[in-house]
Order: sequence, then structure tokens, then C-alpha cells
Amino acid sequence: MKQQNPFAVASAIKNDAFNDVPNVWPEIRKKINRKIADKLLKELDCLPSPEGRVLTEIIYEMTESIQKFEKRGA
Amino acid sequence: METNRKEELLVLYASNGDENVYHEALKLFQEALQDNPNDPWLIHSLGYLKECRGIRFLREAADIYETGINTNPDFHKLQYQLIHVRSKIGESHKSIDYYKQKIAADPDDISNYSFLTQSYLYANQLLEAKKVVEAALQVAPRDPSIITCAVELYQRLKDIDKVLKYQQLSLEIDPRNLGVRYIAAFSLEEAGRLEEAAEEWKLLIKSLHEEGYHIEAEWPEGILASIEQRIQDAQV
Repeated sequence: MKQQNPFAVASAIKNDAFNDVPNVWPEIRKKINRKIADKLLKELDCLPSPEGRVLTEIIYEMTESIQKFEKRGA
Repeated sequence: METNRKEELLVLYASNGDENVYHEALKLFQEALQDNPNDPWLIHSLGYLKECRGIRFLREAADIYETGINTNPDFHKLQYQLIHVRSKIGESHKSIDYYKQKIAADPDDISNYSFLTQSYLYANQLLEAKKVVEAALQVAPRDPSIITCAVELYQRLKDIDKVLKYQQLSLEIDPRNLGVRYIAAFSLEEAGRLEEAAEEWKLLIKSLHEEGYHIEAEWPEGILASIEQRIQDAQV
């Protein structure tokens, strides 16, 4: 009986194992990214920090809307 | 009577943006200022007239970019430009809301993290920008646009160690990203680390010449010269 190269045998077994196991990593990665996004969006779902300009923008827009509404009513 | 007419036209233009109204108002204010060049109210009104016109043009630019994005969503320059223009007209919150929705809809698309970070940076919302960058680095630790965002963010937060860390990573991934060299050079100078700042400028200047940007290298060469002078003066 011809002796087989043990490294070749091991390599063939490894290749078979990889080919037979489904590649679940993309699905796992998607789930992780979803969790990261959800966590981030939850953290950002609050009043903006006062150091920046967004709060001022929002207040200005609300003030303008109220003024327009009042003018229409007058 | 003419005083009322000018003010009426100004109010009318501010509300409807009619070009004919603008030109008529402009003519009347300029004539009035010729007679009273130091009148603060006339100066204020003329400035406000121009300011309203400028804002209208910026809004038109924003509309153009938005239309372009709808038809060319992968042309990222349009998105960066819209974020920039919106910050000029006090509408950064629109960009922020938009990109939050995009991330919620597709958490795998790392570009939206980059756009959201830029939206927060333009609005000076540094705490929020930091949260976005930290999350984005978990999603894509070696994405070039996110790493560049990190460099910009930590420069604004004056965290020189993080600026240098992410600058190094950025150049590892893309040695031609000269933007991060500029940021690092300025950060080092701001932190008083002049010798390191000088080294950074030298590397930047060398890269610019290697890429054929000889004219663009002149301004950094001037900055390098002034830093080297300061180093020399400190040693005296």
C-alpha cells in the first residue's frame, strides 16, 4: 500500500472541513453591526450637547414656526 | 416716504427672495448711503440685504446637492458638500437626522458613519461626533474615511496622542493621505511640540514635491520656516 504524505492528508481534511462548514461570519458580522448601530442611535437620541450649534438651530426653527403660525392666525 | 420704501423692500425681499425687489432695494440703499455713508442703520440694512441674498444662494446650492444625491448616491463629494453648506445656513440638524436614519436602515454601510461624524463636527457637537467615531471604529477599524474623521475629531478635542495614533494608522493604510499630516502638524504646533511639528511639515513638503504639487508646497514651506525660527529663538 502506497504511503500517503501525512501533510497532504491533513491538508485535504482541513480543506474538506472548511468547505463543508457554512460561512456564518457575514451573518454574525451583520448582527454585530446592527447592535453597534442600535446602541449608538440610542445614545444619540437625546438633547444635543449645549456646546454645539444644533440646539440653537432647533430652537430657532421652532421659534420661526411659531411666528409663522401666529402671523397666519392674526 | 423713500425711507419706508427701502425698509418695505428689505422686508419683502427677506420673505420672498424676488430678484427684482433685491435690485430695487440695493439701488435705494446704495443711493442713501452715498448721502449718509456712516449711518449705522443704513449700513445694517444693506448688510442684512446682502446676507439674505447670500443665504438664498446657499439654500439653492443645498437644493442642487440634494437633487444630485438622489440621483448619484455613491458620489460622496455631493454629500460632504451638502453637509458643509447646511452648516452655513443653520441646518446641520437636517444632515444629522438624515444620516441617523441611514445608519438605522443600513448599519453595514460605513460611509454613513463618516457623513454623520462630519455633520456633528461641522455643528461643533464634539461629544456626539466622538460617540459616532467610536462606534464606527468597531464596525470598520481600518476604514480610511473613519480614521481620517478620528484624526479630525481628536484634533478638535486637543488629544494629541490620539491624533498621532490615528494619523499613523491612516498613513499605514494610505501613505498619500496628506490631509492627516496637515492636522497632525497643526496639532503638534498647538501642543508646543515644535521639533515634531517641524518634522511633520518636512515630511508633508517632501510628499507634496514627490506628487508634483510644487506650488501647494510653498505655503507649508513658509510655515516650516516660521516654526524653525521659533525653535531657534527658543534656544537663544
